[in-house]
Amino acid sequence: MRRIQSKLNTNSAEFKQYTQHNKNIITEFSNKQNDARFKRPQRDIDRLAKQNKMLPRERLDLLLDPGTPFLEFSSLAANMAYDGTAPSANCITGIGIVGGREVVINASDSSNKGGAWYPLTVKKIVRALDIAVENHLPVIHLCDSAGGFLPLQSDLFGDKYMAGRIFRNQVQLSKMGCKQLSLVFGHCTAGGAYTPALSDYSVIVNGTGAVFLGGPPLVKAATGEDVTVDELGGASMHTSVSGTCDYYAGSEREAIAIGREIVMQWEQKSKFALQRETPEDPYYDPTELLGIIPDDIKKQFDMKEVIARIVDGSRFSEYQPNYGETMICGFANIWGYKVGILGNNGVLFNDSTLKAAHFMALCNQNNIPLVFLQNITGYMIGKEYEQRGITKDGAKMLMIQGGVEVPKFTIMTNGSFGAGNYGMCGRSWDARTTFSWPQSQISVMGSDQAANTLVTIKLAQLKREGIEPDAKELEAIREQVLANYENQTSAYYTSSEIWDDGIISPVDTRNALGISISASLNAPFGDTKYGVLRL
Amino acid sequence: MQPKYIIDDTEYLVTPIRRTDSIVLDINGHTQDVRLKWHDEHYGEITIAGKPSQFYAAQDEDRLYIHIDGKVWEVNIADEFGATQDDGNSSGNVTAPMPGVVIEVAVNQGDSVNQGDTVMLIESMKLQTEIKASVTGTVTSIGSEAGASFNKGAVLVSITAEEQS
Repeated sequence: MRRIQSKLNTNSAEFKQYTQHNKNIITEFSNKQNDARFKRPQRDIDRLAKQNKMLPRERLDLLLDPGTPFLEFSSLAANMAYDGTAPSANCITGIGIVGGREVVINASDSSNKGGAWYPLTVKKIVRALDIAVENHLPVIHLCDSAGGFLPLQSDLFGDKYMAGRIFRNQVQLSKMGCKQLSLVFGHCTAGGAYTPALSDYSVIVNGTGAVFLGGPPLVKAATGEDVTVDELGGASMHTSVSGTCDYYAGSEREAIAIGREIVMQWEQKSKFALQRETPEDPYYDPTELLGIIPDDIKKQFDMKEVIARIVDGSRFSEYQPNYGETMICGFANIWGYKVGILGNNGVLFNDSTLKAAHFMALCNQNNIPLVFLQNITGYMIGKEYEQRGITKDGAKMLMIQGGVEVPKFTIMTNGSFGAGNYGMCGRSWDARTTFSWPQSQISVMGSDQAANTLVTIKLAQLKREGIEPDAKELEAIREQVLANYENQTSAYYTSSEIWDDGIISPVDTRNALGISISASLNAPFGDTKYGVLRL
Repeated sequence: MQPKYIIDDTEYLVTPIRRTDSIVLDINGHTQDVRLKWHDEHYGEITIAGKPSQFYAAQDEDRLYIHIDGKVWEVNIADEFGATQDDGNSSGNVTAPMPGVVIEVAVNQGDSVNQGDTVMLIESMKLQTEIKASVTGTVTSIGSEAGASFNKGAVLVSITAEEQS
């Protein structure tokens, strides 16, 4: 496969300026991420130590195979919600390796608010279990949560994709043959009690672990019965009397050791045999990505330069290089795995839209997963393009993109505006994983366009009513829209609301995709039902 | 692509057949199993049919110099299908690829420009695009000033091509 010939001048003033700009952005992101992962009130750290409990990340270090990668999801979930009081939404999720098997991790973070479930905690856990369902992965639950955060209970309990969905997904996983293990480190009360109960295997730690539908205070209030935690749902009772849990552990370390032993008994099903070659590092240095992304969202950059810094050997077999040039399509390898890449080099015109649709159909026919590199301001609008059927062509792209049987992966590299977000496999379109670069933005239209549209509508309304427009009022509308936009289009908001699976540094894109692709091969690819139309 | 190499006036057509641990190449109809390991940018080890050899290599555009087994070889790289496609745009008129607004004009009338130089920055669909000179020559007129909007196909900058000497 031919190597991309980079045209990037790494000595140019522009390259240096962009590099500095993006280094600052990545430093800010890393600081936020470190705080979300490690900054906890001393009071909570002391409390855990007093209870002989490990910090959640210490448990993970012992559970995961040494020296293996852990792809953490949504480390900045809830960073802009609840006044920042629920870092990472009080839980840790991701894909890791235990006993050589790829597993999804769902760990309560009891070092903040007792690991209470906020609405975004529930969303993050449901998403992690969805990832397990889509990729046929086993799950290990590390249970240590105070349960639902009562002041916000109406936002986390009753609806289809709220707390009940966690247990519903657990049932689906078991039915699909995806094993689940619960390590009970703390109290699993009420709904939370079903996590170990619905797991195929469970280990409970003596002294701190407990499983019951109602804790001692609730029992007392409801029936008047006086009972201790250990009698009601402790390790000894559940492993020798009720049979609710399988294994008794004297300490957290022992529980983790037993857990690893259990996982190593699980069958290892063969993965989908995706075309694979010997992995090769990119020929061009991935750190140069920082000098490619401009300092202004409106400035364009060449997505081929980005591809050259993500794929094996910077090799890229470009499809239709001279047709629909605002859409870059082609075959490459990541970690040796064959992929089809779609990247934006401008607005989607009729030809670039059809090219994308046709290329996706080819990849689907050839069992090649799709990687979307989004930097899209939308489909071209205007008379000429509508007459040529841009809406119809966009619908073709969506119909094929939504219909393919191969796994899809999305990276938000910069802008993601309007229907372009849909066409390029935005969140609603079932990418197996979606990651955002820290400076990326998502919104239905650009901030200027939205503000101007609203002002135009307001003007028309006033005119109908025969009122002279007040310049100050119009400016106020504009400013309010712009301020909201600034807040809500940022990757931090996107990640806070779990519209993605986390923010990553551009340099880590290759590894995030590599782990995602490897995990996706645990599920078989579907069969294509019809041939490829030349659009 | 089938790269063609010329060594001592003899042409060799090379087709990569398989890339796994080693590369299987078809050279003028003969199959060779090759393993390549770079020690640094110019120094490496190549194993051909199980026999390893150290080599030094340097590339100058389409010419490759290889020092191997005490001999220096000069290899000319000729790409059989490498001829670049003519995009048909040799006219000096730089036209608008889509409707939009001029953000900045980078040249003045009378300026000389090289092919590929940025002559204008336009914005359309929230995206800024650099408009490049299609030929080397002298700017004869500017079609739209900064702030002006234009339709697709409008002439943004006219350039009189330099006489080929």
